[in-house]
Amino acid sequence: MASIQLKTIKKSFGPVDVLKGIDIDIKDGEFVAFVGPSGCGKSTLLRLIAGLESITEGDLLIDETRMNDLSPKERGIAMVFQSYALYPHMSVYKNMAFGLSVAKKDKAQIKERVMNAARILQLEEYLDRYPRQLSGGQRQRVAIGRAIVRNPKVFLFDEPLSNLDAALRADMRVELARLHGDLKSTMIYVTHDQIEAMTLADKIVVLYDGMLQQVGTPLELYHQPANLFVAGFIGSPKMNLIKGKVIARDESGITLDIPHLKLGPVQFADAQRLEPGDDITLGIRPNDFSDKGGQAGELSGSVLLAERLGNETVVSIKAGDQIWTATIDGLNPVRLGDEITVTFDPQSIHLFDKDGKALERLNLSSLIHETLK
Amino acid sequence: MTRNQSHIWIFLAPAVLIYSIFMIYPLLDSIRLSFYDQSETGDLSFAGLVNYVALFGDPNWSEPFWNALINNFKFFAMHMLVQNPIGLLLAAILSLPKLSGRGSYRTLIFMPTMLSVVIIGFIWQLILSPLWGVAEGLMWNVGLGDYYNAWLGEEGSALITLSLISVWQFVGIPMMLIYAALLNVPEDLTEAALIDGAGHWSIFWRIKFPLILPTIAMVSILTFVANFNAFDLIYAVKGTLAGPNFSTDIMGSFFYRTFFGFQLQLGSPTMGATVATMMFLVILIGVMGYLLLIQRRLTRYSL
Ligand SMILES: Nc1ncnc2c1ncn2[C@@H]1O[C@H](COP(=O)(O)OP(=O)(O)O)[C@@H](O)[C@H]1O
Ligand SMILES: [Mg+2]
Repeated sequence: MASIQLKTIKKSFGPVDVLKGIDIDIKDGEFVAFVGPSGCGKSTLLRLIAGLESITEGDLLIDETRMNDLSPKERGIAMVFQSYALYPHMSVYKNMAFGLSVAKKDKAQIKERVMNAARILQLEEYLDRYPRQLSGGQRQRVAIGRAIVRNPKVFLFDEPLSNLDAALRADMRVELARLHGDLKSTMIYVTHDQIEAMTLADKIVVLYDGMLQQVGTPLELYHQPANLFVAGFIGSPKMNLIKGKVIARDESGITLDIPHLKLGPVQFADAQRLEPGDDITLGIRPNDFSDKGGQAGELSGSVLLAERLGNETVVSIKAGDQIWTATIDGLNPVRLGDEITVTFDPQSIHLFDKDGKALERLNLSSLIHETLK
Repeated sequence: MTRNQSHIWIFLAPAVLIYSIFMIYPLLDSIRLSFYDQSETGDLSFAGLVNYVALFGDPNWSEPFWNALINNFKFFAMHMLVQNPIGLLLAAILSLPKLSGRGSYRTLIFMPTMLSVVIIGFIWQLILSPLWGVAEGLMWNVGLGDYYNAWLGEEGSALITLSLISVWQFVGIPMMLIYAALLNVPEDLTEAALIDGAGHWSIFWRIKFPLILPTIAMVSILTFVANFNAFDLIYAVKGTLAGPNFSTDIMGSFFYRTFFGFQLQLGSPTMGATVATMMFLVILIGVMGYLLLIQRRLTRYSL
């Protein structure tokens, strides 16, 4: 059980600044996901926490103790690598026992702990096999088992599922969630897959270009992304982000000029930040659009592309020279080139100022506020 | 569907031909020669196992033969005990992540390997010479002068000294081979072991060493073959007599004396062929033993 604090952590490889000042607070027992596009520094951050790389600047605390200068084994962490990194010359049993055997634990205790981990991970039949005789999913479980037996305070995962096929990945996701429920340890999970992050994490840390973009619960990130990057990164299909201008601001809200979009005044908690004439970016998630009508916001255009997924159809709508994405009913018979009108609730829009920072939305569901705490 | 496969033979022919003419034929012919006897006039006549009977039965032949063979095993043992462990150690040091000047060390240690054995022999003779060598003076300078000895000249130490000179020359080869094998061990594995709480010592012995074992076995068998074919260093430092009192005589130098003769004894091509055949057999047995007993039990792990 452990809490972790990162205090303005910086990391440079020679002249290249990879992490530019990261502050994160992780509570005891939390499951935290680091997400971001490839190359944004997620693995580097995880390796700093593990002690595999030195911290250039800033402090790393685990359980209030500064860890910067301690070796990996003194930090009470375990790590699961993307490549599994199983010892090829050791059986599954020996792979899992290795950490305990270098710690000179007695044989009986090692056996008990390994058997226990093997039972949790359903690896009992495979203890005598070598890594090369296992499938990808089994190897992954051995790697997790190797972490479990050492009973660490913190688990670190670096894209543990990215080498597995889609079906297995979904299964392993469930297993990891169950594992976290059972062990109740603090876990940090690096992934570039937002679905993994959204489904597993209590808290998501979005990184981009070595900087923290946002820290929040999955729903918070989805419903109140802090900036344009997070808005575009979280959610699939991607949020529509369209440039426009502020025309007016009064008690009824902000009036926007967005070509081809019918939208009344909209209200935001910090609307007073905007002045008429300001450049803004408007965001609407594709699934906030509907083809059923009856909502105040409206968008009309011609269908450029219709991807039928069955439960829904994702259409690209060309309005003027803008292209929007909307998801509509799966049985809507639209065809390419058809004119279509989709509607949306003006409350569902996101607004970003000229620096890309989000305005605070009103009337977020109580569920989101609950998780915001 | 029958296909004309003669093109296979056409492509293989040049290599097979060259290999046969220059490797297989001489080998078979020298084995054949060992079953012949040569008269005073130089005529060859088939003699069956006479030469072998002489080599093992006549003390004039068997004593130097066993002496050379045992010396050769000592020579090999010194390489296994000194050259390969040092090669391993140097390779381990070279693969330390924080080492600077890696390239220079590598080149410097490998340099003697590229020098001619004649030059090496000459250099070390100069260094170790009790008359004009620098070794004695250097040892006095560091207070070890009392331990100086004319190592190359004493029966008890000449072979060991020569082995060490050879080790000094060739240690770069095991170092490079093992270094390359160490570089092949994925960094993930070392990091996983580090996280598992292993120190550098146990990471080396429990993770890296088992993974480079096949390379170490290969280095050993290469050492074996090279040592039992060795000749040039002994000849360069000690001449044909492999002195003092044949204490540095190994199979190669024994063969040379037998074949080409020395001092008053005439050379004998047929006896020489007999010794050469024995050398071939010793190496063959060693290599077969390695292939059947060791190689088969070693697993190469795909890393
Ligand atoms: N050892 C290293 N030396 C130099 N640059 C590195 C090193 N490790 C990572 N980087 C650089 O740091 C950046 C972040 O890498 P990484 O943390 O692996 O990204 P991610 O895991 O988010 O894909 C990349 O641009 C990468 O090239
Ligand atoms: Mg990575």
